[in-house]
Amino acid sequence: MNTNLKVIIRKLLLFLALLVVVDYLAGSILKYFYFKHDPLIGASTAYVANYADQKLLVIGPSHALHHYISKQLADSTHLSCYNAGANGNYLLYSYAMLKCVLKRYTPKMIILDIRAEEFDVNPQGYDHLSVLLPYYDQHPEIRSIIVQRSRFENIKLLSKTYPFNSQLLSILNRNIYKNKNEFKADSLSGFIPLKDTIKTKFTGEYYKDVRTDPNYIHIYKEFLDDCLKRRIKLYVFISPILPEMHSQTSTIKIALKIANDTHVPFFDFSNDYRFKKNIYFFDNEHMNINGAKLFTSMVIEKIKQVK
Amino acid sequence: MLFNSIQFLIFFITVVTAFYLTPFKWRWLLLLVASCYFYMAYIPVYILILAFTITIDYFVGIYLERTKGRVKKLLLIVSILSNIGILGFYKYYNFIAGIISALLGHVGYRSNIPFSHFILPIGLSFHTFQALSYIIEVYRGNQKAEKHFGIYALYVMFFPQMVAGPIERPQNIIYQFYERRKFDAGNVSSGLTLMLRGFFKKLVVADRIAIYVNVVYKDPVGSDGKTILVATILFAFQIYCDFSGYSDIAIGAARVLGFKLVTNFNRPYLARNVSEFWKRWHISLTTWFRDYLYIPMGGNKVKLPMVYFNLFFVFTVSGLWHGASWNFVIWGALNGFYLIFLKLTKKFWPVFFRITYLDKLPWLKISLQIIVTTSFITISWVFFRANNLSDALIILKKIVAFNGVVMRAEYQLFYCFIGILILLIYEVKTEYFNRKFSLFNSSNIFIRNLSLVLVVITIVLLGVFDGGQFIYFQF
Repeated sequence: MNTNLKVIIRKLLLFLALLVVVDYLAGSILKYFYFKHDPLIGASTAYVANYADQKLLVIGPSHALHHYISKQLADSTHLSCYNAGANGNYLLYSYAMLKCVLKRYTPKMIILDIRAEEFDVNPQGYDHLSVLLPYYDQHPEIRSIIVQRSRFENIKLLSKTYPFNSQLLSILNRNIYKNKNEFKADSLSGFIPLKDTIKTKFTGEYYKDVRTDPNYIHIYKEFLDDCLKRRIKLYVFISPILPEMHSQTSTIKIALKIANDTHVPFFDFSNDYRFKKNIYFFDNEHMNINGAKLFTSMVIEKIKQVK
Repeated sequence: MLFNSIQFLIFFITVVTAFYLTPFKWRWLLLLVASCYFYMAYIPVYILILAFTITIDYFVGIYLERTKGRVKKLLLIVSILSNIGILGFYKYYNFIAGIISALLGHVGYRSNIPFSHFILPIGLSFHTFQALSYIIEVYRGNQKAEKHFGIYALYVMFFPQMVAGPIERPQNIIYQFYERRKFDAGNVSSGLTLMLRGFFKKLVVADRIAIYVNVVYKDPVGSDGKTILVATILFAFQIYCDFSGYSDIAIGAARVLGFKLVTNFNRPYLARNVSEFWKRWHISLTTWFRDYLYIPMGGNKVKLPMVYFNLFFVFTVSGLWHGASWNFVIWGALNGFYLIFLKLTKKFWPVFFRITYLDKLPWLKISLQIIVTTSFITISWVFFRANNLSDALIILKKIVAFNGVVMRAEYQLFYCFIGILILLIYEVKTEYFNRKFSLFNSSNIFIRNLSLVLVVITIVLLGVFDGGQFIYFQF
């Protein structure tokens, strides 16, 4: 064999061997510290995926997180309740959380919150699955969802460090300090209230219907099917938003039809005139605590009506 | 195909393996096919535009060598016009149409000039300049016309540098396609190290900063002055790491294949004045403008006012090369103005350093020079990055107002600072202490490999893997 080739092969082998060892060590250390801290403090994903046992779960994006007051729901339904909503995460994340939960137990009731444009083509819905990467090893049931992040996610996940990409500082923070806000969130069973009130309301056309992503529609159907198979009482809600919507979005039409076909109660509050007031909103899409109180009471009313 | 994608890694490994397994006489064909595939990964049909200009320039090159006098000049003009014509149509048509419409509007005419909806072919400005370089060099007699059509096509299309440079000269690259390249462990390992440096710059620094800068520059009205200032400083590092990162990957990839491309960046933010900055930044473009525009205009060998005009003109054209908007024109002109100012005050600075005793404190003097130079360059980047002229003015006003608070965006800002800090330590070390604390070139193979492995782990841990294209692709 050519001497040059031998040299480069030897160099590459040494490099690869070192890479595997260092990657494994770094990945293991990060994994240890990622899961070391108390899961009840500031790690909603870890809590829902590994520990939650409440009878009523609220699942969805930031709308879910800020709009459904767990205590109010628990008091009126007489079911223990946890708000598993997550900032910046959409249907794929919601479905992954459902799968993790169903692997351990069957809740009695689930409230699924979706956005009025949930099915629109939105690469962020895939990108933000990064928060689930640390769970890839522990939760084989969600691997099929995580690998949808990108075409070569399987290859990237050969690395033990990659699941903790962009997590270094939050791991350090969580292990050195215990974030006060996150403590608060925990005491409210996942619900995070927003306090400020929006100053200026958006005018104009808030939603522009774009192409829908068939995968999101498929995931929505799967979510409904999985709940129905386990005889979970499922309610689908679309939260109010502040701007007026001039027409129903494609998502609302499709989601409503699928819900009707499967007999799942579906409630669309996106254009509810009672919520078109600044005092209920933190920003155009997220209600503050005033709006959350009113909205949760209406959610309870709807659930009672269906019962 | 993006350099920072798994597709490219698979493509590159395949091409390198095939290259060294292919008999020498067919290697040019392999590289040409690979380059076509690489280019067609964007908009396949645009390869026809490239084929058209390559064919014209190939024949013009041959005839340029055979002819003399007016016919020779005519051939040169035909070639320049065909290249610039295509560049003009795709890149500047809408800009010019907009100006004409606005002018007609001012004198009371309502124009109906249609706007073009064509997407700019990727890297058009780069390979157009590379093709022009060949034609001009053949015209001047510095380069023999290339008789092998495939080799000439490869000169324009060589995949590591075809979409964002470095802009090569025919004298530097064509002969290399004829040289029998043996597999060389040194080339492969230094090439891969360079590529790794490029990936670090792109993924850890540039793409991370882009997350912050994109949010701020999208809505300058809604952002605080302090946030805008931070975003502007960050953008200076983003553009550097994005573009020099691309160059590092390109030069490294070529070196793995045994080819040596020109250096494109030489730690520009350690320049001590604007003139030095431009000798360190995008060197292949700066020298292109120097050799084919500035010197033919008279360069420094004309009366002083004309030297100033030449500088100003060349930098304004350079701005226009970057993009078809007034922002880029102003960016170029501003840099031209900086250089004129530097020339005008040439005699003042030595006196200033002497009376302020900075001459006796060389480290302080150098640090101040670097900070002042980088500050001026950073101000000019506002025009480069802002979405339009009115945004640029709002941004500058807000920076001066220096109000509000700095948006931290959770951990994003910290990640940006970590990346920049690592980069600065590396650059300062290379510039001032090159022989000391050598890790990547350590004689100990274990330390050398461990250093590289740590860079890979840093990229995996801190890099942004769903980032966008390289900024300079749009040019």
